[in-house]
Amino acid sequence: MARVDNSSQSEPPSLESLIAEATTYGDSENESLDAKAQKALECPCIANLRNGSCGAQFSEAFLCFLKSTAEEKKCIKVNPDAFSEDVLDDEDEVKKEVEPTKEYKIIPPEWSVASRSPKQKL
Amino acid sequence: MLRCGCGAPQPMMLLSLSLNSSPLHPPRKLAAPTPPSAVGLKPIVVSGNPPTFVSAPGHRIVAVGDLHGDLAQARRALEMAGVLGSDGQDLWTGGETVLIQLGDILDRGEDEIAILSLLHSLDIQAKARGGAVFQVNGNHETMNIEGDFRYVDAGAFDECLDFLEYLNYCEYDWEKAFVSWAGMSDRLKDEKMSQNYWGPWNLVKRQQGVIARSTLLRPGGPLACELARHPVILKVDDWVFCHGGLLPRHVAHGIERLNMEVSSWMRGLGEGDGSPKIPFMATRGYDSVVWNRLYSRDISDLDEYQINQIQSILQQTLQAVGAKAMVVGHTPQTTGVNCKYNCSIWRVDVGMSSGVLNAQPEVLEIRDDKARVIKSKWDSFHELQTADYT
Repeated sequence: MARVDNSSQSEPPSLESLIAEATTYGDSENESLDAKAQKALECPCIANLRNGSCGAQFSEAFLCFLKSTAEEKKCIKVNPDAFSEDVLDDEDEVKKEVEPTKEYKIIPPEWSVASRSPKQKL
Repeated sequence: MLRCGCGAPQPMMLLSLSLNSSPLHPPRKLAAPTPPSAVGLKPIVVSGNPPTFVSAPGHRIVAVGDLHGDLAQARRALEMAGVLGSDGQDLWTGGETVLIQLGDILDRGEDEIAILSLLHSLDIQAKARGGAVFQVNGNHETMNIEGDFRYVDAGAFDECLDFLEYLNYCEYDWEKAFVSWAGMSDRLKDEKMSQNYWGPWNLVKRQQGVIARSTLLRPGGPLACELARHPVILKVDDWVFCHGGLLPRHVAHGIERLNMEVSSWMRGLGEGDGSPKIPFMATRGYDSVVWNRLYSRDISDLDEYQINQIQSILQQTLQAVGAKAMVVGHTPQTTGVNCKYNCSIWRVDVGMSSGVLNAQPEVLEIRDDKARVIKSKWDSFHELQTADYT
């Protein structure tokens, strides 16, 4: 059902790529944002949330989310591994970003990624 | 509705406009409907939106450090502080006390929204009795609003999902859902089976959890708007509170201005060209208000000239802001709550969350400008016993 079959990959997909998956489901460049958002809603990965008792509200919220992060999502698509090693280390090393500050990127939790250090540092 | 800017005004339930006027935010008295207290304490006056300057003359102040999603430890700390009853009813027992929480409620634990809910509920109760609850935002709050979920506990994603469901059940009445969530989440936990977060089914749930969290916490999201009600810098009488550490240049920029900039960013308000810029001075970089550890470093690691330099910067800051001392969280103190630099800085984060050090809670109490550390329930018990004899 959900397209999250790991068998073809050596490690579990990152959460970021899963979000990217929903939002790029059936995406094609020639469609309007509305059409793309509708299609994203149809991704099986969120089907049970849509079909639940709060389906209508979830769909509305998700649509709003999708439409409002169109620019940011392009970045997520292009950079599925949006974090790099050196940034994972210590929360003190706050990255002073050179990219535009308007971007909203979701950086997934450390525990969802295959990483070298088993424990989080303080 | 759920997103796209927060139009909802702050709950102004017990606030009344004060007589003074200032262009933007006239100070407001937290008027209590109850008769004046026996000891004749003046009502608390708050200035700024989010609150920046608080006048609470004669009120007992208690400060609690980083909670990091551990509701049980948070409750213990609040009971120790003498503001929360121990009967499990989440009742404010602090009377006219002012409670200040130093930030970092998010990340490393799974009861984040529950803790925020508890503090909000206590604030409502406190205001009815002449007290108040304040919070300052920490770096983990700002990180989450930026979408940086690196330190989010697995169970916290579940809480986001559950809370969104509950919010829906409450027909999107934010105040109703948010105030009652702490109690609701306790009941939900009793009912739920423990879940193994791993496994293919839960991959789907995890995705949903990330989306839910993002919906709640992205700039303009309802939980981000809730956090936007809180400052990053708070001055109460002669004490200044912030998560990491305040520097002279922050004061020069203007602390009310900094608070407003962070709040606007959290609420997703634009400057006309779209989303606002992230307020770097307050939230990014090792010398920002929420990340700064200058005053929290272990003295034994420092040379004498460094100690003098830091003390000088601290003094300069306190003078500029008109405070006698600063209270910060952010850096877990393995030796417990302590003060340094002539007790001009109090470091109150002890790492009490089970996701940090699982340390025994400790809180700071300030009475008549004198601070002391409360290390156990016994400390507060003694206090109550002494009070009986006066």
